[in-house]
Amino acid sequence: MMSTVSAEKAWDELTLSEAEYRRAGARYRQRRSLRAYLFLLPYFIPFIAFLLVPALWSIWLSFNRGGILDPAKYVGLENWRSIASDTELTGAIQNTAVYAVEAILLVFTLAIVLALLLNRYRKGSNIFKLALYVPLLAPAVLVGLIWQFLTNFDFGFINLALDAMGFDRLNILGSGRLALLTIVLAEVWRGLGFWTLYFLASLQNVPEELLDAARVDGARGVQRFRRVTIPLLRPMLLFAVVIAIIANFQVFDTVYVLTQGGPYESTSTMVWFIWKRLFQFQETGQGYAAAVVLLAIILALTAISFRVLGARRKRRA
Amino acid sequence: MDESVDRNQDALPADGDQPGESRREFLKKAAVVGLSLPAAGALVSSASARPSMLIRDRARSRYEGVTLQFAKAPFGTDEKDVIAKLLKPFTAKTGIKVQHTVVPWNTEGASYATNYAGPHPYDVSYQTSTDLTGLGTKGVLEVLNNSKWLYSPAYKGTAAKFIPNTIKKSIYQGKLYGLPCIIGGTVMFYNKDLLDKAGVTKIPTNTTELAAAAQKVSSAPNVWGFQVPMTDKDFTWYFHYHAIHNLGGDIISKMRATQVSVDLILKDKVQPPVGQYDREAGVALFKGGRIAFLHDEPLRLTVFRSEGLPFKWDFVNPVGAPNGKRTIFSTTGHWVMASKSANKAAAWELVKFLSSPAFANEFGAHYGWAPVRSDVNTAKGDAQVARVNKYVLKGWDGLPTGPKMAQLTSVYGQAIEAAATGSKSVADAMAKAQADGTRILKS
Amino acid sequence: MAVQAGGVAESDVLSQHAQEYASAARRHRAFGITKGLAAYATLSIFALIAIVPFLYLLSPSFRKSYELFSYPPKWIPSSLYTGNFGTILHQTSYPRWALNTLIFATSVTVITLIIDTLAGYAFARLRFPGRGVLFGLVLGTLMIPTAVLIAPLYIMISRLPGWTHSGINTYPGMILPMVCSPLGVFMMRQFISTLPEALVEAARLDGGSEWLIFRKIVLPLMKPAIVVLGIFTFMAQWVNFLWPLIITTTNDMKTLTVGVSSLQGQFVTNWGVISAAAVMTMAPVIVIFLMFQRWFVQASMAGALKQ
Repeated sequence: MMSTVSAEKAWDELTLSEAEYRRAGARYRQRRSLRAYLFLLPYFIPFIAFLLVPALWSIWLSFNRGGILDPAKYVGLENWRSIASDTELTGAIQNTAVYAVEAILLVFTLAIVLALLLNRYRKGSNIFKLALYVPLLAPAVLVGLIWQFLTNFDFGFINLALDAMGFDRLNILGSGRLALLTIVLAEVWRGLGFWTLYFLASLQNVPEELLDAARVDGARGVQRFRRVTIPLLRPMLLFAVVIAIIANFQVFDTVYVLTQGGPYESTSTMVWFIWKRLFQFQETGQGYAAAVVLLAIILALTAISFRVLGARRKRRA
Repeated sequence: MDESVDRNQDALPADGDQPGESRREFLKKAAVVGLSLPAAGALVSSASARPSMLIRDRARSRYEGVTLQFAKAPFGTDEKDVIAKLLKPFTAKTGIKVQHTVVPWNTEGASYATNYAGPHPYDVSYQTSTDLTGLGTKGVLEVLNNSKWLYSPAYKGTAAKFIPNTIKKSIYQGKLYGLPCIIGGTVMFYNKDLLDKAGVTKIPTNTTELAAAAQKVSSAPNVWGFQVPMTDKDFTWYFHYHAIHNLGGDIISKMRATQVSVDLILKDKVQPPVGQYDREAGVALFKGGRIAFLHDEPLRLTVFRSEGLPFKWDFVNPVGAPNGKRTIFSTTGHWVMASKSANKAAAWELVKFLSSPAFANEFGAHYGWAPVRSDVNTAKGDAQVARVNKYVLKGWDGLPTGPKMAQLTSVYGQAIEAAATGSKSVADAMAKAQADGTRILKS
Repeated sequence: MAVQAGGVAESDVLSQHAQEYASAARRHRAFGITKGLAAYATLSIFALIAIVPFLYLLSPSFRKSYELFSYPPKWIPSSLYTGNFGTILHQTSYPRWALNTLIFATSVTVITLIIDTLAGYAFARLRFPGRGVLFGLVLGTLMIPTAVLIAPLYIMISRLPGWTHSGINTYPGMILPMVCSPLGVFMMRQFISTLPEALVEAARLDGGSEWLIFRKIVLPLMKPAIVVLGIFTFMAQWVNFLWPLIITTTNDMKTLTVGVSSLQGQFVTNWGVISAAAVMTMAPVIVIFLMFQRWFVQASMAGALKQ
């Protein structure tokens, strides 16, 4: 008897009233959030100080004259009007777009093919993975030097090969179209290892059973790839496309070390345009305004990628 | 007979006309004597040694412990060592230590734009006239043409020794932001063996003769007649301004001068197409014996000599316009002081020393630069450098400085590049340059 | 007749089938071998394309610069000229630059790993208000080009409040602004999301604190992701040029990329010396890379980029 009563009492004590329950819940959530913020704090202190503040500062400076060497002077939309009437900017946007489309298509195609091969033929594949990755270790200065040598008129590999095949040698960095293509090739050369390993990792996450099932159903290699592999890879492809857009619209290193925008502005990209305004011409306002334009373009393209690649995934799910 | 001869004679060290300087000379000697004496016999001459030691100590104590930050984009890979060697007597005399930073040319803009924005910028640095006024008008450089520095009573006599034109062309809206130290001149190197082989006996003096001589050489396989930087990245404007100047200096002469340069490539085909060899590749090509005439800067001299090129070579003044002038029209280099410098007095000591014969004679001689002061002589009995100096002093005229110089010269460079690649006709390219230039000046 | 024929020919037909099957298998195998050969040939070609261009640096580094453009081009130097390497060893502070690079890249990597893992865990497994917004903000900063941030960052570091000296020419000034990589947080979050939630939940029910759960359960499982992010960060900082260039003004604080580029006078480029410097910059990275290669390949294969 006694024990039953005390047990009920104990139960009563344990049971919370609705208000008590809500309060406890709030306390728990509060503590949980606090803990989460503690986990975030070490990252967000440098993040705010070294990324967010400089970024917002840059946007503010796009409405000012000066602000780095001398005090900022608010000039409204003057910088924006200047860059709007600058034909080099329209050229730079066009060059960047052409470059990005070519570079992304080429590097993705090659990387997916190589990843499929590495996935199918695994014996000794480590050697290839390592070799493909080596260009990524080279500093930009070195990439510039190497490609200068590769495209050299007299002893560059490309021209020696053309010569051996009986074609005329090409003035590669002297022709706008070829110079931009050289930037594309240099960046593809640099990035191929990364993307190959990326797609390889993605492929190895595709469950074998699904592919086997498809095989039993009589799906051929190409079909299997299109119907099974690609849809399963869609989220990874979305991530890849977004990252590639962000990285390639900011192409600068190779332009800087190889062509400096030439010949006649045909390899002038957006970041090169920004760099010149910021550090060569001391027109910081115009540089930052162009940077905001670049940011807007990348944002828009990212949104489009999500719409195109992300939505279909939902439908299929 | 020749104006330059007179000026060259002026350039010989004029000794003892400055009482202030000769007194310092005397004190320096006295100090050296004073230093050596204690070892010889302190007992005998302690009385005579003491006063000079005292003076020396006072000069030192003023700057004792001061270290100046000094930055420069290099004229050669050995420049840091050359400067360190030349600064030794300066540090010994004043006690000022100098910390030298090599700023790479291709990132110069970014390095200075950020450095001068900080609280402790380089106390002294080297700026070309294209960047000088851009930085100066932002207020980060000390204005020098006032009674505190250049026209201070102690320096007035020395200030008069600067070639007046170099000071004049470096002043913008009444302000001089740097002390001229180098005149930017260009020269035309030639490969004597190649010319002999092609039967060219007379070194061309104008563009028409150059085209003809270059054509004779170019008929041989794998050899080009002429090479000059033709892209904005290689500062093509720097190698073409004198041509405009020779023709008159207006928009029509801009077009005519550019047409001549473009024809050498596109019509006469005596120069490699734009982009096939950039500036450095062109120089390497010359070193390899495959270019007859190379238009570049005199500082190649040191390199060509030290590497010992496998053929006979020499150089001349860049060619002039047919029936026209033959001048050198270019920029200047300057020593500048940061307005935020915490040690301006010490910085001024350094700037003064860098401009003085004690530094500039040797430094200019090493890199083949012409002097900007009548008491500086960079030839040191070297016949080739003496000739560079003669050319430069005879024919130099300065490009006036301004805050938008870097952008304007780039606009002109782009126009030359557009025309020389055949992307645009000379007329179209120059019309665009004119429009862009006007827009930039208005903003 | 049909039956008769069938009765007689049955074994023939069978053997005929067997033969056909065998030859088809042979053909299939042969086809497979051809396909394999083609695959390995393709892989080899791309491996060569990745590696061979580096050999272009070796030849000039052993030659005097004027030999470079002789005609016809010579690939094997007439004599092995080692002066270019001598120039670098004697006229520059190469060992000091290498040490600075190592300190810089290692410190950035260690700090990045710590803070990115913590933040990644919070974004993946903890509930708190503003999670989506904060994560969006982190990803948004990916889209800002580095060149834009350089000048404001320099001004901040040069007069950081509370610092007695400016951060210029100091390791902290060099390292700290480089530690927050948005991509790193993203990678870590994605990876932690793939870990079975049940593990964490079970530990929570057992009364483990979040810190304990993170340290004892999550962290050990994250080894592959940490290795990959570590290698990416280290390599990115090893080749980082712009920031070390701006923030260091003394020779003793330069990193390798900055030091090497300061050899390249715009007016007098000595390709021999620069090629030699390039070779000497690449050599340590390749050594480090080869030392960690097993880890690296295994780690990236372990699906560190799992979604």
